[in-house]
Amino acid sequence: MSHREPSSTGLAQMVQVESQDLSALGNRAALAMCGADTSYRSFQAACQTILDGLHDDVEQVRLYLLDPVDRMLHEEAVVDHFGGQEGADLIPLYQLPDELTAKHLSVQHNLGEQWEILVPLPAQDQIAGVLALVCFQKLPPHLDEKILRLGRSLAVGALFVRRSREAERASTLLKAVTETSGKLQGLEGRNLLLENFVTTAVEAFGFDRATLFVFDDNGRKVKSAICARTGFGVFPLPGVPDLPPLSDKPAPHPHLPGLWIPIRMGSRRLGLLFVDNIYTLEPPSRDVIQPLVDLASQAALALENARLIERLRETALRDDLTGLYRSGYFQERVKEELANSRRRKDSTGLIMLDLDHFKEINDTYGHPVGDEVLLRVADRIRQSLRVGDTACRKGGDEFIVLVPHLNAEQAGKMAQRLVDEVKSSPVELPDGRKVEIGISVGVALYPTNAGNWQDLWTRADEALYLAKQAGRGQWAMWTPQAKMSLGG
Amino acid sequence: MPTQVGSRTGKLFNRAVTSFRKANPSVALELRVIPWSNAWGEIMRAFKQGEPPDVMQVGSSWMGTLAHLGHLARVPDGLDSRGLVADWVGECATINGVKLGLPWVVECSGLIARRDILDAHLKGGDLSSWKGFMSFCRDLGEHANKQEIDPRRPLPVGITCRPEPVTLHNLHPWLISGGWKLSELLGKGASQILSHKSSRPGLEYLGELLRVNRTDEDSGTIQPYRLSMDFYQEGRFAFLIGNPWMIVRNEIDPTASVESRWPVTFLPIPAGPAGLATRGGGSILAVSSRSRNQELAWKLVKNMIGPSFMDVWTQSSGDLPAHLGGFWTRNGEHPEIQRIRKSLEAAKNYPAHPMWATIERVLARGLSDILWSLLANQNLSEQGMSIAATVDEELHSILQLAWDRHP
Repeated sequence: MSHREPSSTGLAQMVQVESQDLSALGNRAALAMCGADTSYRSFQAACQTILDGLHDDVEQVRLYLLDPVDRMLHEEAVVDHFGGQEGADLIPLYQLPDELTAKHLSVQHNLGEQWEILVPLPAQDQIAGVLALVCFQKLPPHLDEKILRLGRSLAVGALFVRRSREAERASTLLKAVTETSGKLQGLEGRNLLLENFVTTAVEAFGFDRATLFVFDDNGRKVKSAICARTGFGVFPLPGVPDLPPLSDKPAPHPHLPGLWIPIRMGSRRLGLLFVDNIYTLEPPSRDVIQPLVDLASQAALALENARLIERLRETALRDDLTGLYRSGYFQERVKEELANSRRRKDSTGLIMLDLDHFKEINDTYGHPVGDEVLLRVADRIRQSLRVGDTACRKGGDEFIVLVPHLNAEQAGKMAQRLVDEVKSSPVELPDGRKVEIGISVGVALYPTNAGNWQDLWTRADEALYLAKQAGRGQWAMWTPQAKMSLGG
Repeated sequence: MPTQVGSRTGKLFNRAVTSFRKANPSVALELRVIPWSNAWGEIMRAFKQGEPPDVMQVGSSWMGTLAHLGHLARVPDGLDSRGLVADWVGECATINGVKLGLPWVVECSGLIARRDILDAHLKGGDLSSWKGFMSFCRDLGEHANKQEIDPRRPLPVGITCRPEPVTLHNLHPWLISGGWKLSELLGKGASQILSHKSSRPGLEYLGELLRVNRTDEDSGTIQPYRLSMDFYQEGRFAFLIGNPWMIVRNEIDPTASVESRWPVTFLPIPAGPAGLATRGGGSILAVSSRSRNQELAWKLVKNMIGPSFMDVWTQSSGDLPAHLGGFWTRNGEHPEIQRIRKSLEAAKNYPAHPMWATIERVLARGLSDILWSLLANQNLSEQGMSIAATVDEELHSILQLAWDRHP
C-alpha cells in the first residue's frame, strides 16, 4: 500500500467511502464482534473488515471501547496494512471533544500527511466507543453522515462485547465466591481459612487491600489481624489500629473508598473485614459488595466451625478435673520443646510432682475432698507457670511441668516455691477443719541430665522418688550420684 | 516490537531504542502508553492482576508509595554513576537509603510567558513578586477580550482547577511561596495540613488570580494539554502555569510539527511572602520487584537514560534529561535553558512520604474544591476552610489506615 497523493483540487477523494454502503460494512464488522470471543481479537476482526472495505482510503483502523466505570476509552485493536494487534492506548473520556462524545458527531484532525477521523459509536446519550480511521485524505463534509452510519452500526457490536464482558465478570465473580465458599467450609485450620478469605477479597474482588480483624471469644477485643495485598500473600499486622464503632451492617468508610464488613454469628462478633482502595482511590464496583457480604457470612460460619473444632480438640487434650493437659499431648510438647532447646542451645527442665499421703486424704475425707485437693494443687501449679511453660496431670496424684529456658538454680527455686505454695494452701472443709497438703518434687534438666525426652522423663521420676525417700514435702534434683543411690 | 502502530510515543520509542534492539535482537519489547491522568491506577491494577511491567516510567512523587508497597527492585550496584541536574532528582529515586530507580526526565513548574505581550504591556513592571505579577495580570484582565479568544487581548493566565494531581503540581509552589508548611505539617502528623493557617496566603492569592483571570466553569476545567494548545496555538492567555516542555522542544528543534505560534519565555514563579518556591518533579525508570527479567530490564533502563536514547527523546518530547552531559552541555549557553536549569536546581520535590501517591490526589481534589469555592465566595470563607478541614480529615484517615507496610 503506498501513500496516495492529495487531489490537485484540494478536495478529498475517498472513493470507497463514497461508493460503499457503510451501514452494511458496519453491520459486517459488528457481526465480527458478536461471537463467543470477547477478547481484542473480535475487535481486530472488525477493524480488518473495515480496512478491507475501505482499503484505498484508509491506512489504519483502531477501535476503542468505553469503560463506563473508569470513563476511559480502551484501545482494543489496531489494524493497518501490515497487520493487526491488540490495542494498548487509553484515552480519558474528558479529553475528547463534546462534538464527539455528547453530540455524536465525527471529528478529524491533521496528522501531517494523513488525517485521523474519530467516529462515535453512539449508545443512547453516551458513546459505547470510538472508531479511529487514519485516512490519506480529509473527509469531505458530504460523506460525514455516511461515516456516522458506519459508527452507528458498529455500536451494536461494541455494546454486545461490553455486555458480554460484564456477564463474564459477574460469572467470574460468582465462580470465585462459590469456590471460596466451598474452600471455607472444607478448610480445617482457622489461619488457613482466614488467609484464604482475605486473599479472595483482593484477588477476586479487585480491592487494593483486605484486612481482617479477628475478635476474641467474647467478641470484644481484637485478638489478631491479618492483611492481604495481591502479590505479597498475607501478613499479620504488627499492631491493632483503632477501629471505628462497630456496626451490625456493612458500612462505608467516611473518607475513603472502603467498606467495613462485620463478620457475625448471630449476635456474636467474630471478626471485622475492611476492604479498601486506599492506593487507587477508585470507588469499588457496586456489583462486588453484595457477593462480598455473602462471602463474609460464609466466612462467619466457617470461623465458628473452626472455633468449635478447636475447642473440641482443646477439650480432648485436657484433663477433665483439673483442666491441665493430658499426658499424651504433654509428651508431644516435651519432644517439641527439647528440639527447640537443642536449637537454642539452652536448658529445659522437667518438674515432676506427687502429692504426699494422698491415699490417706481420700480414705479419711472421701473422694470429693480428694478432688478438691487435686484442684488446689493444679491451681498452684498454674499460678507458677510462665509464658511458654506447660503443665499436665500425669494421672492420679502426679503432675508434671515442662519449663523451657531453665538452669539448675532456677529449677531449684521453682521446685521449692511449688513445695511452699502447696504447703501454705490447705483445703478448708465445710465444718471448718483444714486438710493440709504436701508434695514431693523431682527435677531433671535437659541436656545436663538426659539426652532425650524418655531419659529426661525417667530422671525426673527418679528425682521424685529420691524426694519421697528423703522424707516427703521437699524437692530433689537428679544427679548421677542420686541415680547410684537408687541402685542404677 | 508490538507497540501501538499509530502512536506518536510508540514511534518515538521505537526510534530511540534502536541501539538496545541492535544489542539485544532476541528481546521482544512491548510498550504500553498510558495517559498520566490514569497511569497510577493502571500500574496498581497491573500489580493487582499479577502482571506488572518489567520496566515502568514512574512519576517521581510515586516512588515512596511504590517502595512502601514493595513493588520496586533495587538498582544493581554500579549501573549508573553520572551526575544529575540537581541533587533532589537523585533523592527522588532513593527511598530510605535504597536506590530503587534511575532518574529519567525532570521538570519544574514555572510561568511560560508570551514575549510579545510582555514587550507590549509590561513596561518596566515587575513579575518577580506576587504583587507585581498580580498588578500586571489585573491590567491584562481589564483589557482582555471577554467575548472571544483574541491573541492580541488575551486573558492573563492559563490555569485550571481540575481535581487532578496536575493542578497540585502547578499550584503547589504558589502555596509554598505563600508560606504553607506542607512538609513540616505532614512530617509531624499535624491535625491541620491544608486547613493550617500557613496555607491561607497562597490560597487567597490564587483565588484573587482566578478572579482577575475571569476563570469560569469553561476555562477552569480545560484539560491540561488543551490548555497548553489554547496558550501556544490560540493565544488565549498571556501566561501559562506549567512545565516548559514546549520551550525546550522549540529551542532544540524549531521545525517541530507542533510549535508555539508566539515567542515564549520561561519565568520562575513570582516570589510570595515566604520567598521563591519551585516544584521539581519528573520521571524515574524503575524495574518491578516481581519482574523475571530484571537483568534485561535494567539493561533497557540504562539504555533509556543513555545519550543516544535521550537525544532522540528530548528532541521530540521536550522532556529534559535528568542526567548532565548531552543536552545540557550542548544547550548550556542558551538563555532559556539556563533559566530553566536555574529553576530546576532551586526546585524541591514533594515530601518523601510512603502514602504520598494517595495524599497528592486527595490534596489535588481538595485544592480544586477550595479554588471553586474561592471563585464563588470572593474570599477564603468558612466554606473554603471547611473544605480544607474535610480534606485534612481524609488525610488523617489515610495515615491511620496505612497499616500494611510489608514486613
